Amino acid sequence: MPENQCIGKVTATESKPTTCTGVYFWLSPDVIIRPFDIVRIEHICGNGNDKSYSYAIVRELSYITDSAGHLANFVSSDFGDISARPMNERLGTTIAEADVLGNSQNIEMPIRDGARVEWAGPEEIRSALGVEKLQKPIPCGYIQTSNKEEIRIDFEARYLVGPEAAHMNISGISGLASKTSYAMFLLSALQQRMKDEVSIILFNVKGPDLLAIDQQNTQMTARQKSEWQKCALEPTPLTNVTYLYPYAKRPDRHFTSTHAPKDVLDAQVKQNRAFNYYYDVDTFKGGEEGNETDVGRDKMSLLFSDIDDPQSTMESCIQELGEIQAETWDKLREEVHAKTEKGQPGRKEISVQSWRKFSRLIRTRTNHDIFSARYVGEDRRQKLIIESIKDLRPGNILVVDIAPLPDYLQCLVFGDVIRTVFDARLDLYESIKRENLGRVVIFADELNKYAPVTTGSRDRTLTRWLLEVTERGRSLGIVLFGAEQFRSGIHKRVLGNCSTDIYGRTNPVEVFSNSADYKLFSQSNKATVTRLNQGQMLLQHSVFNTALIKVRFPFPAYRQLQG
Amino acid sequence: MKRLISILRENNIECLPNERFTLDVEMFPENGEEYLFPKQVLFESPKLQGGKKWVPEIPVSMFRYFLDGSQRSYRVIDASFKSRYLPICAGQVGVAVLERGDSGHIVPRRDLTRIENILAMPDILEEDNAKDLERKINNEMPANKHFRIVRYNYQSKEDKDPADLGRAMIIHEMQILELKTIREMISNYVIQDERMLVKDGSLQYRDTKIKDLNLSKDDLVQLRNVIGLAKTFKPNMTLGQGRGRQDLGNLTKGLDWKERTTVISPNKDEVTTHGWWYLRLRPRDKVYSPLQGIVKIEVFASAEEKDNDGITEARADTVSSYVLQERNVTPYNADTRWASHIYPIYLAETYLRSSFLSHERFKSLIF
Repeated sequence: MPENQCIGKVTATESKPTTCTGVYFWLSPDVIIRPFDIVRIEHICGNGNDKSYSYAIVRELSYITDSAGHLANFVSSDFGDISARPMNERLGTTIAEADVLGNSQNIEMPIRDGARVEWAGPEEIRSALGVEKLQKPIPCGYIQTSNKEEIRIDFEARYLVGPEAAHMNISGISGLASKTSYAMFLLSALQQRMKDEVSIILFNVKGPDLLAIDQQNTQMTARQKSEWQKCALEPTPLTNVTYLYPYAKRPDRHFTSTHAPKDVLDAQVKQNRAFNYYYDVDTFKGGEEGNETDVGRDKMSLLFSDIDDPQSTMESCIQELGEIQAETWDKLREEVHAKTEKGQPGRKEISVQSWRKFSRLIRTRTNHDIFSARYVGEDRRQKLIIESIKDLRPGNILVVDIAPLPDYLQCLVFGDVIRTVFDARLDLYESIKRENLGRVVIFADELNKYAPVTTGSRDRTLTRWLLEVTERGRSLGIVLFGAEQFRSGIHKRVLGNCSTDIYGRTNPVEVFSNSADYKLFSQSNKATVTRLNQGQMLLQHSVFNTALIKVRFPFPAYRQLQG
Repeated sequence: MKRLISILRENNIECLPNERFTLDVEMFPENGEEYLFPKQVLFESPKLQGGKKWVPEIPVSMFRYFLDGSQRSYRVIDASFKSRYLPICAGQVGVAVLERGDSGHIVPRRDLTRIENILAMPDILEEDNAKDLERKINNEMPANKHFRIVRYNYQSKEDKDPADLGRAMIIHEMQILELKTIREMISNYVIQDERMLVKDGSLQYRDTKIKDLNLSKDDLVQLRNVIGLAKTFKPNMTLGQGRGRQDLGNLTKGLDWKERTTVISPNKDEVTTHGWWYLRLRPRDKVYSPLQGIVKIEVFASAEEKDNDGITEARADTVSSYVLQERNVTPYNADTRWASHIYPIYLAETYLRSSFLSHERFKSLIF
């Protein structure tokens, strides 16, 4: 292997020796380097004559001088004269601390003192990071090294969307548009690289953010386009997208309450890509296909999942609901209301007070346009969620807009989609063939709403479902891509099941508090995660040879709608 | 690799390893002290009124090179020579030169830095035998560990332990190495009027050593660009004569920050006439002793200065101002002599010390 430019030499001292996993080196004064750069270091060889190369990722940089203390520097300025100009430059050097990633001959001996440190080449870096010989690489960004190299980084599909491992979590403060942009970039990469294997469902939770993802971003600059090419991807929007909007009685807006601009909506309707979802009584309380009776009851419990039910009285009411005969929402509400009257016939396990509370809740919570009956005409473009999922195929994307809904209805829709896909993959529906769906990737922003960290002794229904998805979804082919502001707000088991973690910029309180998620970060990584710029992320993935890689990712190629 | 003691034994030298392998020697001794010169004469032209003056500060320095010589010597073996047991001393001697760039960045001049292993044997061993022994030793040693045998006169001072004489010989070798380095720098035009050399310690080499350098007339001129800087001096040395007599300690403690004494010469009529003076580098109120923070500056006199009866005031002022510029940064807290130390010399010492073999490795060459 030819020698590259030498940038420093390894230093091993009595107090700071090199180890199998760590190495220190001093740097030539003119070299500029930064954390996450990867270097190549000469090492011994098995046959004793030749040499091997170890690769290490810079973790921390420090500048040391021979000054015995701050006071010595004060004294060196004529005892505190700030105008004093020293004739001599104090002896000092930059010391880099790096984690060993591997060796070209799998030698795990500590690197020797004085070994040459060089820049590593692009292929060497990919190999050292463990992304060189992947079976199905999915581009996940590119790294920029201090010596001006730009190197693509890939995830291994088997570890991103299963079956070896699955699920991804993205965290980061809002306002930088990084979380959603990154998720969309990755979904785009999945669509470009796994068109025949993966179908995607994503939720639009804020304004019209994700409601034009199949339209080209016409304001992209040449530089932004070139960033896609650095990731070996086309700077194109997503394709084969169907939009599912909440139904509303608004003929002027194509019967939806979505925040999508009129022109966008018109175009989607024209292309027959936009539909309005609704809940009729039958599917809500059970009965249409498969064993939907149970599912219906669960949907009802989703509607109340944010309400404390320590005595399980609500659960009992929902159970009783199955026996009520009602074909319209009004009828259902009336029937429930009837239970609130004294002197009801039949079983008396549920008190009238409990029915009153339940009735109040069902009345207020179903008082929304999405709780409707199917109309005869086609112009309202009504579609049940299960019908949309039935039509989902690999390479397709289903965008479910829940932004206009209140929180409890967002939980309902999200939970319903998750459960329907889960049951479909379990082959519980006669009309949906699991193999038709492919592996289903579900992207949900604001995951903290759906799977918050456990506070009581019992997780709520939606959280339990999400746990089931993250714990069993890998083998079933359901993959959750979640995003949230703070990891500390997410259920530990949901996070623990993610094979890929993406860290966006977060605030120092989150990082430096006792949050277990950042406990193993080095000090410099902690500092880095609080200073990430727009378009930068720290990645953690099962196949990487290092804990974290700092990448850049391209600007979204789809039309950016402002709320 | 054979050990030195084995090689000596193979050559029929009966050896007793020195149990103590004394390591308690001063690692960086200051060489040559004033007491060697009984006579001191004021040597500044024109005569300095009041015996001291404030040094004007100019923010430049012509000091470019910094030289430090050092040695580590041990009494290693007591050997039997012709029915006498005499000590063999071994040591490492070295000289390091650092160069300072315009930015203040200091780098070592590896071409001017050298380290030698010396074996000091009593001169009861004839010169031919010594040369033969040296060859045999070096045949067994790796090239970078070779020894040079020097012979010391074990009978020169009857009241002295022969081991001290052996060690003195090693110190002498170090001084010769310093001088050779200075000569090389002069001959190769490294030292010039605007690229002066500061040498750690005194310039009080014995005259013969300077003469032995065989400097040409032109090269001798360049000696004026070599400055000696000593950190220690004896405060009880007496200066002047008659009513003007006073001890050096008394004179120097009266110095304020950035003041210097007048120039003194111990040998104004010698071939290599030189003069010295003292300068306070640190504010008096910031050091714990009135004698702390004072350096002794030595220069060779030029031919004109010798003729004109003294170092010119302007030259003493200029050199003093250069030295004053060297006061920052300091090795405060890292070296007890920090107040009288200048940083480049401290670095040269550190560089040389880290280039020496460790005690253990050096010992392993012997036993």
